Amino acid sequence: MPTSMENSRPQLNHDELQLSKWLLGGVLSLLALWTVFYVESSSNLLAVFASLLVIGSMASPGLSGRVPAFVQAASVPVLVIIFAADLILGTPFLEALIRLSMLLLALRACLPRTRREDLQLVVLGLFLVVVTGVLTVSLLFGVQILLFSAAAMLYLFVVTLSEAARTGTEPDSRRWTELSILRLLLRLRQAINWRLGLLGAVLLVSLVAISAVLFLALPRVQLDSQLDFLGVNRMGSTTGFSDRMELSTVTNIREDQSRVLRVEVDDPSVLPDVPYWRMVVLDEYRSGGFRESAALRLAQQHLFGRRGLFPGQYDPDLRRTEFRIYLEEGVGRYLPLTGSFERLILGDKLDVRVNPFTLTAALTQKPPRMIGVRVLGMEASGTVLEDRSLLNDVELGERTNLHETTTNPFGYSIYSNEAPGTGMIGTSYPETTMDVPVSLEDRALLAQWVAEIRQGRTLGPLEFATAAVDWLGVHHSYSMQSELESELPPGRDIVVRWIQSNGAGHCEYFAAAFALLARTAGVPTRVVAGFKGGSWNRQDVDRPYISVRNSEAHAWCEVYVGGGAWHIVETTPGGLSTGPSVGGLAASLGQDRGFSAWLDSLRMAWYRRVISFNDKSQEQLVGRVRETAMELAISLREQAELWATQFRNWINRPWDPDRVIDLVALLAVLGSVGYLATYVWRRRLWLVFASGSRLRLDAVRREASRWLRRLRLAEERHGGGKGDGDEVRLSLERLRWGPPRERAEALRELERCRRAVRRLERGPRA
Amino acid sequence: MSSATTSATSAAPRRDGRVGSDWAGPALRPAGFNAKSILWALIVPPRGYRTLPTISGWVLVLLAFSLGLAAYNTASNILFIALSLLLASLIMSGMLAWSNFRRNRWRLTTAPRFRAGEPALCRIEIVNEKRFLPTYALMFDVRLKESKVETSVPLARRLDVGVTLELPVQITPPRRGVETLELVRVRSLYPFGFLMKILPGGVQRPVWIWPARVNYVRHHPLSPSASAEHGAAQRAGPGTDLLSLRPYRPGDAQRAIHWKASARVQRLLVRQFAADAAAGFRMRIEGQAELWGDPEHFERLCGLAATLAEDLFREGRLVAVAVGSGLWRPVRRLSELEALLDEIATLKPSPPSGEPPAAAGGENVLTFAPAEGRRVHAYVDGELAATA
Repeated sequence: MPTSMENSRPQLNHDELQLSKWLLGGVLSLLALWTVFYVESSSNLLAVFASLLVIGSMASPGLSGRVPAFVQAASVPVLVIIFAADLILGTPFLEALIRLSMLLLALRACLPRTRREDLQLVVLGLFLVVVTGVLTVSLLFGVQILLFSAAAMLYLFVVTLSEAARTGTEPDSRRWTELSILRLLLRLRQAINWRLGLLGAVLLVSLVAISAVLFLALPRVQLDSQLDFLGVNRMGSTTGFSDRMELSTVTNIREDQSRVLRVEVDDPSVLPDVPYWRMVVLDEYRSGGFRESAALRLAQQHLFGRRGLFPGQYDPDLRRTEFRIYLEEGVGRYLPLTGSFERLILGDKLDVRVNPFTLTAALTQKPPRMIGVRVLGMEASGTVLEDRSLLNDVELGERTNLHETTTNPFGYSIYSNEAPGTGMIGTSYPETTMDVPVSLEDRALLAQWVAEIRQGRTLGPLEFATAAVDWLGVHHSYSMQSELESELPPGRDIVVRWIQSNGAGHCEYFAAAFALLARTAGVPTRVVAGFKGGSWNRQDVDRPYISVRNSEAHAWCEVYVGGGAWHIVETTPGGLSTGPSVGGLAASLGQDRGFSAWLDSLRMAWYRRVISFNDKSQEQLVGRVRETAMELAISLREQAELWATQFRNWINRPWDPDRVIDLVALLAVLGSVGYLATYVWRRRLWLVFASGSRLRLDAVRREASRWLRRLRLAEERHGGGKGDGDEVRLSLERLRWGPPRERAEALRELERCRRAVRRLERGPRA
Repeated sequence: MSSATTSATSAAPRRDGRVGSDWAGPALRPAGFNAKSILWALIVPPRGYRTLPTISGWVLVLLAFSLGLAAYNTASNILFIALSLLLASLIMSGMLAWSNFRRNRWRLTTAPRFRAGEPALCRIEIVNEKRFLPTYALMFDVRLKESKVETSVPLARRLDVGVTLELPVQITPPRRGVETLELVRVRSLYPFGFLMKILPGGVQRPVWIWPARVNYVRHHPLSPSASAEHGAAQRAGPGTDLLSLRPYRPGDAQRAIHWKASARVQRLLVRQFAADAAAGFRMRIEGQAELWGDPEHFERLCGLAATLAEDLFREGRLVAVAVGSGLWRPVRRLSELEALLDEIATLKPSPPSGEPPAAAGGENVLTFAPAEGRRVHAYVDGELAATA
């Protein structure tokens, strides 16, 4: 390859590099602003505004120079004042900080930039991407940070080139603003070739690979007291389950196919055929709606230091079925539990409270992002046992009146004199599960329907439940839209009215109706809201999981069957009225397939392998690597020993002519192969089979070209006279440019030249 | 002067241990180059190899530190991902910087003589010997070692594979003397500006810096009218007396063609005139310390002597020179004039000897004497000839 004095491709000049830098800065800002849209905050409008500003400045770079200098100088102080005002007006610190960053980013993207401002742009963008990533913890963050990193590196690269190319240009020249973006794109098309594109791709892959290795290798230390990053845990989400259930239409939820819950189970045999993911238990009925009574709420217990553990406190000796639950943001603060459990391990430091009477768990704050929960030894049998061992008597005694009593079948009663914030006075649990606060007229109707259900029989709780569900199924059909009139006659209860109407309704109507009927029949009943079922995602065959969609939100009831046990009753027609069957392997669940399932499995892998990666995972990884290495070494050693043994046995066997012939043949074959390999290597015989390049040069010509270049370099380095390599050069030039020659002869000639060039490269011995 | 050229070449570093190479740079493998030496170089960089963080680099380090602190305190894997990416970009920056420098070689070409106070033009020749990757954004620092004058020359354009590029370097020596022009270092912010990678330039060249030309006033002995009183010199020049005929060369004026002679010999001949001038001055430069104690005064003497020598030589009126108490030596060829200027470049006041100045000896001897106000007079046979 001879050297030349000119580059083979055109090159961007300083002005074109400046424009490229400007556009890349805009792209970088847009990438950073894009991440804000995935955070539930009131800053989205500002993000739209900032994005439009950046796009405008990208389209018209000349505008940036028209901003007066005093405006540029005053802009940052003004933004800081706005930030302070934002804080004073009560905006949470983090949200105010995000807004300030957005405005600063837009400012930096729209005003002329020196190297210092270029750096500020990158740092501000990185800050936004990281903060929003910590807030969302979504798979998209991985894509966003990768794109941002690639764009930032390209940007800084162009900045470096632009500064190097600045020689000879006026320092403050704004001539580049007059360039056309289209023309720049055409120039870029000329300046970039496939090799550069390939190099970019290799660099990106290398960046990902090095980052992945560093991510796995960075030592993890489990600190006892983790801190919130900029207090992100204090930002709440706005949707999800609540402790109230008002009867309404559920069309929106039914049409929402987004996944809210993913569950991995060690041993699927503990799952019923259809799992019920209990989120919240509502015991008190008032004014047509169910709610969590004040007494029940006061029975909640902090789990911290009791059965709630953080990953660092994980007890490896405890071997129970493990449920790994990943709860999406926006579902609310309730955790999906199927029944009693032994350990609840949270991936984040979040305060969780558990109700020992309902076996529900709730975080004290709505998590702003997806959280992971590990529950050990959880029951999913369909029967929920009160776990009074969770009670902290001292704490409970101070806040509630827990009394042993014989006036109800439970043997205890919790009184709440005041329910904070509700204005309700005098509730007590579990009496609330038997209370039917309706008018006398409605109560009479309920009693009439209960009698109709009983048909004169004496029914136990489950028998009554079956009969009642059947009765409801006969009189009502399922519909997501209720046909009940909006205005009720005075004093009439909406649920009673619905039962009376024989109209259609959805799960909440059925659950509420069943609860009133059962309570009227003297069966303690509570309404449960959560999710029913789900679907298997088996994209990762080794680790299938159940994903639950928003559309699978459901309401059902639990009836008290004595001994502190509550049994799940499916109140909506079409399901098993007595709830799930044990050991069903969740076999009734469907299978997720297609691109959506694959994408969801990616998301799951992100949470499982990236977000949940901790010191234990690191230890496991190291252990696995060590084990694999050991296994490999052992396997190799065993294989070597086996071959050695076989060889020894073969040698020790009596020799006969056949075996001698075998040995000779083997040695001959090995020798021939070795000789052939050496011959091919030394004579570069693979060139014979090498295909032509895109330049349509045959392999020998290409090789000759390469050796011509080495010859020239050797001569230049040693400062030797031209005569030293003249003969070799002539030969190589004949091979390179001359008429086609017989292949074998050309290869011999090439070999001679190769040796001569090597000699010249070694130069005169000192 | 051939010795000067040779010494300039031999002064080039020989990192490869080979004679005759004036190239330097990573493309020239140091002796004993092997994998072990590469690994060792990662731990103990070779002499002159340095990597310094820039402001961007410090910001990156600070960011990485802050992110690391936050990541460990919050156990947030999102922060660990960001930290990993930052560290990865730092590693890639180092790798790309290394690959950018790899297999480049350069050399410094220059005339061996500069003139003080006038920009001198040199060239850095750089070759990219890589097989695939272009070279970007190098910065060459060139300096005059003794006077500590430094200038930087950027590689403002991409250097493709196999391409040789010449970068002009302009450097202005402040004073006369013998200096070492060296390519001190080659540095680069490539690729992201986080780290400044510095390699030793590895090229040195001695250069003679002639005194700066001075403005002077000629008096009668040196004036053109005085020269007309004398005959033409016996060498070619822009005079009016015919010296000889010579064959026509492209570029010769048509009016110079001697048509008659050309017709006679059947080929074009042109007239060659004898140079004017001719007083045939001999110049003696004496720098006794007792006369030229003031350094500035002495510098002016050197400047005037060099300027007069050049001007008289150009006019064909310089016959011989003597420096100090040395013998007269003729100045007929350019190389002899250059030798004189080289000598003036290194001229120092001679220590007081206690003896009277040597006699000028003969006619048309140009001598120098200090005058008031740090001026310098030149005399021809005792008559004032020039003042600077």
